[in-house]
Amino acid sequence: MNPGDPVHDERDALRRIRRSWIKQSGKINSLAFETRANGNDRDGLSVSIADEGHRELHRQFFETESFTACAVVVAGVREIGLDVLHAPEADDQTHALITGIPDRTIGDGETLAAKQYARSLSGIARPYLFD
Amino acid sequence: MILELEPSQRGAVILAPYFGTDALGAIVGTDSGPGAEILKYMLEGFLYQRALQSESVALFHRATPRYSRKGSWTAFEVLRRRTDELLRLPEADDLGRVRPSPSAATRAKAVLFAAFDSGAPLSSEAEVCTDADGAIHILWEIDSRSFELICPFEETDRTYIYFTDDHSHRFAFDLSKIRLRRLFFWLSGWVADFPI
Repeated sequence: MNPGDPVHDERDALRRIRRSWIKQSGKINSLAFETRANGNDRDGLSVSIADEGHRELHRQFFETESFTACAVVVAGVREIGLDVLHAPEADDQTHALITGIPDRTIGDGETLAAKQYARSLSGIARPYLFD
Repeated sequence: MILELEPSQRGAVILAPYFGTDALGAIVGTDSGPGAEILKYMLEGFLYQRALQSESVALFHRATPRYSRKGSWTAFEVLRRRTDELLRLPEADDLGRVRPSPSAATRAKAVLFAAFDSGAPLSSEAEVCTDADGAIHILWEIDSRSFELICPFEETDRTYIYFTDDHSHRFAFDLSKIRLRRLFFWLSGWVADFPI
């Protein structure tokens, strides 16, 4: 996989989230997919692509006292108008980015659109368990 | 201003549901902005009542009150306490800020109190947490309707509300009591049309 290559539709993209972002209903709060106000997520939201060969690495990264993982199916992300592109890093070759979210540092219109995308992503997200 | 009515019309006026003071402490029901708006609602209510009597419109549904002032006060107290609890969170984690600023907590509680004081149906069934920038988010969801109060960490950033349903989404930066009341009534299903 090369940086910028699209991730296959059927894969699970894992997002590291605070445990406090899981709602009382068990669903995922849209805060899990909100971009930073300072523009740090301008290139995209960081995710890791679930992969059997990286399972233990992911478990250690995602599952801590304060953090957990949620997952979205890549096809679902594309259905709401965003994309998922490979962006491998030295310590995580499965790293990828959810791209296409408007830059909320530009103005209220972009912030509103970003908020709506966050809500849509949380709507298709599910808690992810490393059994 | 006094409405002069015919004897047969007396008692037919639907009184505005909100009386009190606005966010600046001005008495509403006078010639102030909110007062004029409420008077407009009263006149609309009067005209509606006349239309009902003439049977040019029909009343097919009347909402039954499902909340109480006491319930709203209890909800305010619960949400105020949960907002204060955020101030005891760690300052930051790997993702960014966790603990909100005291000013964000103060603003959140002020809006919650304004909502209660407006007569809005406030519910304690809400998610209260902070985002990775330390902004407080208080989220209510009822069926497909979602209503989120957002108080940024920085005092200079605007406090606002994000509300959405299956079809529309919008920000509200006007957090006056009248606006809050309308939005909470919409959230609770008392108002069908998406607020503009």
